[in-house]
Amino acid sequence: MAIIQKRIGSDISIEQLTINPYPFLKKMRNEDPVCWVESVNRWFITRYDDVVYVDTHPEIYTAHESRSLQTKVMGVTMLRQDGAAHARLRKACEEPLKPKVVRQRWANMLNKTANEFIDRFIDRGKVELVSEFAEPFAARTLKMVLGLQNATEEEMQRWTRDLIDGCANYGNDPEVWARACRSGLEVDEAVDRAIKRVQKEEDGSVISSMVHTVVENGKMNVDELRANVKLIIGGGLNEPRDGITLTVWDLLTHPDQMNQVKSDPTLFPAAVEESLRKVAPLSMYPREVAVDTELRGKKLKRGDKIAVLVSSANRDENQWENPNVYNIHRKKLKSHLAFGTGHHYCLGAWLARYQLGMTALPILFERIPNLRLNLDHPPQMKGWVFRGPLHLHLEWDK
Amino acid sequence: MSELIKVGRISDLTETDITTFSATNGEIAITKIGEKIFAVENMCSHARCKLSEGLIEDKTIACPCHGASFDLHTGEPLNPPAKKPIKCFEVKVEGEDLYIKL
Repeated sequence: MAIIQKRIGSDISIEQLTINPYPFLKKMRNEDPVCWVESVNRWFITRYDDVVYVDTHPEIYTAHESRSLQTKVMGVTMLRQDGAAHARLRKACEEPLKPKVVRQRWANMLNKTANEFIDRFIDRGKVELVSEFAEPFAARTLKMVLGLQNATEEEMQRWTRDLIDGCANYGNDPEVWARACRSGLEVDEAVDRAIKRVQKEEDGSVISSMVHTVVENGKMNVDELRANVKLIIGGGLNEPRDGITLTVWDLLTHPDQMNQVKSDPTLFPAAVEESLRKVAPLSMYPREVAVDTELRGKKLKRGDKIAVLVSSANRDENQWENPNVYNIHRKKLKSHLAFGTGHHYCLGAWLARYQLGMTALPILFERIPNLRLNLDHPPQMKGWVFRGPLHLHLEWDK
Repeated sequence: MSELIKVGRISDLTETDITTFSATNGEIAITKIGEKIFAVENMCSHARCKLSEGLIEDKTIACPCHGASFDLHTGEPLNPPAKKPIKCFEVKVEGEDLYIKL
């Protein structure tokens, strides 16, 4: 009797990936590391070395995807460009986000913001951390760094949600398009007001940098500015939010390591890096095959769509011992790929590291030293493109 | 033939900050961690960004552009996208004066 072995990618559903992608990714890494997943219509790249290769060979695997929903929703962003076109846009944005500038220009604002939000709930003895701390902290600090001081945190959160939902609207839901369009127009108005302000006086924000930095072919035009601000709103809020809650979750469920970190706060950055490795808040990003090629014996045709699984690369057994285990003392902690690698390395990585490892988490644990999980409301983790706790209920002795 | 070049004084250096010195064949990034002084070429081996705009962390220097880190002792790359090492230079201290062997 012939035994027909099912191909791994043939019956994995998006719902299964959303609940818990890791068992499927492990199977792919071990048995079919370049795997066509029918439900997603993409080749899944799951091994660390292959993810690094794809990210560092844009001439073969381009970020300039055809029929990109992100381009449809936001406009032409640096994230969907390669080469000189990408470098030009990135250069216009980068100065306020460089590591030394983050420490010198934004540290006070970050500290003040973390303390302000903690002040609102510290006397209560309980909190839902996503909605009351992580998300508004990420929203407020992002808007200040961007230069959208007059936007509210609620607007930033709504814009992020609507723009990201638009970018993932493969189901062509008209309600999602309507929300994405409405939020996109609101962002354009906010950007236009900010441009007028910084044209009179530079203020060190990302929008100010975009307006004033001279790059190849002149400065960024208004359409480029609007598109890339939308990109930063879409990509710079959910990830720090989830990075905060993931690290809190990891520390509270690993009390030995939490006690080490509380005794030596210089270990907070290591705790953050390990949390980002274990669950990358941005777990997958797309690429498109630019020229016919072959990877791990699979023939990839020009135009084939790729899913780069950072979440899988970060648990590659060839790279890390016991990759499913949280261990802040690993060697080469920062060799994870949660911020990507190559030319599209996350522009906000240094800001995110400072937000999480030097501000939000040290301040939270210092001000509420006996923080613990509220087990009446266990957290629920969800997602395979973005992944993080939907909510995180905590309590402490008042 | 290597030569010793005076690059400044110990008092010019701030703990874990990065000072640069222009040599004939390129810039050198110098940093002080405790009693130890490190000198490396001021250029990432990945995309040629200036390491002096990066960060010193745990005896490594991180490139600001794409996150590559290098071991300050050996110049070895510690994570992608860098694959090649950066040059390290021998440091000599005489009194308050700082020298680098080029």
